[in-house]
Amino acid sequence: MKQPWFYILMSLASSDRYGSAIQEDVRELSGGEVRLWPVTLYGSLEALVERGWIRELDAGEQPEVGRGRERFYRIRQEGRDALSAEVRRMEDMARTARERLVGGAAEA
Amino acid sequence: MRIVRLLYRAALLAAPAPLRRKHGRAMEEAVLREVRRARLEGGTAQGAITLAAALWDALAGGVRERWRDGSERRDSGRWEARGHGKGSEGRWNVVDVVRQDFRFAVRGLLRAPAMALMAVVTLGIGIGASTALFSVVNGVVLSSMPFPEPNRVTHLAWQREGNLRGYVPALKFEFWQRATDSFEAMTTWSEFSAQLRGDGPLEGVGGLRVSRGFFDVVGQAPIMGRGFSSQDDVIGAQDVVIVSQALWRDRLGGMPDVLDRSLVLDGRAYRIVGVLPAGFSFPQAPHSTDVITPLRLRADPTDERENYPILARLRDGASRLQADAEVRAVTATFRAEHPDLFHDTDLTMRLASYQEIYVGGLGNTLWILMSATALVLLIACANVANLLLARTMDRQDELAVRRALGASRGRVIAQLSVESGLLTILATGAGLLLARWGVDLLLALAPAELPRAAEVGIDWVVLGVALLVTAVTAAAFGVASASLLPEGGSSALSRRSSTRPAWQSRTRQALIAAEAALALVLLVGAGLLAGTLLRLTRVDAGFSTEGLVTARFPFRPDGYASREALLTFEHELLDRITVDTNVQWAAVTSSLPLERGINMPMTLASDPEVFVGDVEWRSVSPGFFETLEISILRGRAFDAGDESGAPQVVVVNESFVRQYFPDRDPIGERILIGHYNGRWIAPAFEGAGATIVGVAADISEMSLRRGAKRTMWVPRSQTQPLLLGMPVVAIRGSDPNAVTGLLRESLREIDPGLPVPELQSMTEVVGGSVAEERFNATIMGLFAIVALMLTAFGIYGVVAYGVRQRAREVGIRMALGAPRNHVVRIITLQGMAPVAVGLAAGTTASLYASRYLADLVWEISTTDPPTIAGVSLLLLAVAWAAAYIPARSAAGADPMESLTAD
Repeated sequence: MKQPWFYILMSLASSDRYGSAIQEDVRELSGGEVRLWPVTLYGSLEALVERGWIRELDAGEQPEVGRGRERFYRIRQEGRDALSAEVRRMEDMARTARERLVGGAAEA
Repeated sequence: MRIVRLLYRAALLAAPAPLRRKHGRAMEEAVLREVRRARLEGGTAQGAITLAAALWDALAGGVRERWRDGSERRDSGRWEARGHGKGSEGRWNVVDVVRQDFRFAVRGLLRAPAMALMAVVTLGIGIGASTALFSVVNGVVLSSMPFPEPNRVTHLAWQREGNLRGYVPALKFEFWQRATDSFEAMTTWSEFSAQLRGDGPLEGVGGLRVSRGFFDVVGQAPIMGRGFSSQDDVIGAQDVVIVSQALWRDRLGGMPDVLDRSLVLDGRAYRIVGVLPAGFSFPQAPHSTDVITPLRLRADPTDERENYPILARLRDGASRLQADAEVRAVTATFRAEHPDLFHDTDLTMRLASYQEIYVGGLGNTLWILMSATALVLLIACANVANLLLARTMDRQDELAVRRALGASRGRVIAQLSVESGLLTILATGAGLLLARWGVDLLLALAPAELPRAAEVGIDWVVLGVALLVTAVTAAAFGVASASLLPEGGSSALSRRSSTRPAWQSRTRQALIAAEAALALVLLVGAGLLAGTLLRLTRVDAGFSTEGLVTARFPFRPDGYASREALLTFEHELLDRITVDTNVQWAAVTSSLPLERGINMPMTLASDPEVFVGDVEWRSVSPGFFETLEISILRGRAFDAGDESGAPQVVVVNESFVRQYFPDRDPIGERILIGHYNGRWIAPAFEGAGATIVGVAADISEMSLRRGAKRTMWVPRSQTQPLLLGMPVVAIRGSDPNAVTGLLRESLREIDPGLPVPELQSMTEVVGGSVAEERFNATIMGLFAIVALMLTAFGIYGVVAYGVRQRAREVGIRMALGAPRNHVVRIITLQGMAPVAVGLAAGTTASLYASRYLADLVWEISTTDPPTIAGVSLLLLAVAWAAAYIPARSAAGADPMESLTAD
């Protein structure tokens, strides 16, 4: 899974958010490592919507924050599944890596 | 921030329209927020980096999205059907596509390294030169003063016809300070340099004496201690000083308890009352500001010397227009109440910008050079357009094959765009290097008085704009030529090698003509400026520079404050130097010819109605005229008898005599120096006046350009203490090295505490006086050479390409017996046809454009026919060579080979 997608899904997994809130959240989640620049961010959001992993909230569903112009996004079950699959894959990879680290030899 | 918004919007055009329409505003807001935050956290550089990242995201991400938007979805079936699909989700990974395009592009460029190199170099020069020059223009001319809310800070200046005078007498300054209401604070200052006594050797420091309100006007307060209070600028109060951050850190060891300690400047103890913030800068001062002391203004109505500039901060909410009106109004009242203080009735006081006062004519020059870089950038763009057109034409076959194999039109265009983009990125790298180097070069070449040179750095916004211009050109021509791509399917293959579309070769010819025209305009400009410089260097200055060494002291050392001390020192120095066999003559003077002297008022003793405010005044020792080999036409030069007790004497020049004694012998006449309109300008000047004892030949007093000015020389020993400063030494000898050695040794023997003098040959002084003209001619010349080179590249490229296309025709002609020379001539002439058109257009354009050079040229018409003819010939010769070389090599090929090829 592409890195921006992973971070966006992770951000939306806990709550509905709008564009720049996702950007801020991702920056915090990654300890300042990942910055989603606007075209990448909104392009990815569109791609995820097309894919059916997230959806844009209708005007009626939007929480009343900010200036009311923001478009909020909510993760869908398909998105949760994709994120879980990715997390499992990463966990598998991490486990394998750890096993090899423990088992192997190394030069000092 | 507006420019950031504009740049980002432009870059965002790369993204597909639906995405832009839906999220454009949010994206823009996000970028502005990021840039602002970065700037707050890390300064302008950090902001620029953030902006660059956002622009890159918009350009690269935009293309990526476009790709995903169109081609990917449409093509994905096809790709997968042919087994190119990737990933478990059944999608083609966009990144892989871009990566593949990138690989293709690199391979493509490596296959044609000459064209790639030429494109990169061409674009790089265009980007680099325009960025470097605009960075200088921006730093010097455009950027505002480095004060908070700079829009509220303004100068006040006298306007008379077209001229601005930024200085007023102390009394008048106090008047405007009192009488105006539009300003929160108003200040004046004077600059000084002093000698700082610390632990180490004596050091020169730059200082400002400032009137009360200075810190309110510049909007910055000392970070430690206080500003000046109303007690500090009373005459007789204790001397206090505020030191710069750098001085505090470097020379006072950054001690925290620095306040109330004392600092010894020119032998006087000052109590330190404050430390300036880091980065404090006052661009109005010619040197760095190390120390600031209170200015003790004496509002003496008889002191009319115009020494004080005015800088003011507008009240919050007050408009410039209102303030300007108020200043004009109170000036009118003031003038009506005190007619005695206003001799010049046609002066008006008004608000003036920093640029008007300090940059002046230099700003004009920089703008002209800026236009020249724009021309170079245009030529570079034309060249790259040309190269890309040729390249696409060359690749028609390859592209036809790709189309026939099923690559979509969009896919091919995308690939071509990536190639153009890659070229642009490489060129930007080259341009950035050139720009950095160029800024240094420009500053090194620039005349010494270029204000604010220290603040000049590469301007990232400009770099962005230049980049955008070239990128758009590259993209436009890359894609435009791709629009002629063959249709898909097998028909594409069958039509290959058919004739090339006519519009492409017409476009290429037009581009060459445009390049030639632009190059000619630059060449004419360079020719005129070089002509000016040449004429200046041939001027007979009226004095001899041969074997003449000059020395000046950077500051006045301790113990040389009194007139007696100075004169004793001068006598002793000249006595020691003149006995040496290497030395023919030696003298001291207040300032050398071609350097600024002092304007002094003068009244004829025989006719008090004849007075004038601005006679050039210089004080010199006996031997001065002999040392500089200035002819004495009548009477005598100064000698040892012209002592301080002896009758006052003066030598004037021809111009002076022509104006005031047109029909009688001036020798023996008396003039009142320092007397103006029935009054002495200061009590120190009062006296019987000076007797004219000699008339010297006219010399270039102010500049080679302006030639002679009415001048009076007085003996050093009869000069008022007020006007006597450290002398400039001039020595004429056979061996300059021996002379400088002798001078150093003599100074050491007289007083080891004397500062090391700055040595210059008189030739260098003369050279320095034409620094601005040399700068103009050099820069314009560099641009013209670059333009000529680029144009030659362009012509070479077009002819070489045409020859390749017509190899078969050439082969047939030669096989049928056409003489080789004939073929070469035809091809060369055809290659030069667009140059001829460009020459005609360029001549017309330069007749128009060179008018803007009118202020910069001297003794040469801006439509000087020999110059225009000369540079036209040069352009023709270079164009001929550029066309001849590929033509000859084509005709040299074996006709059979070209016939059987393909």
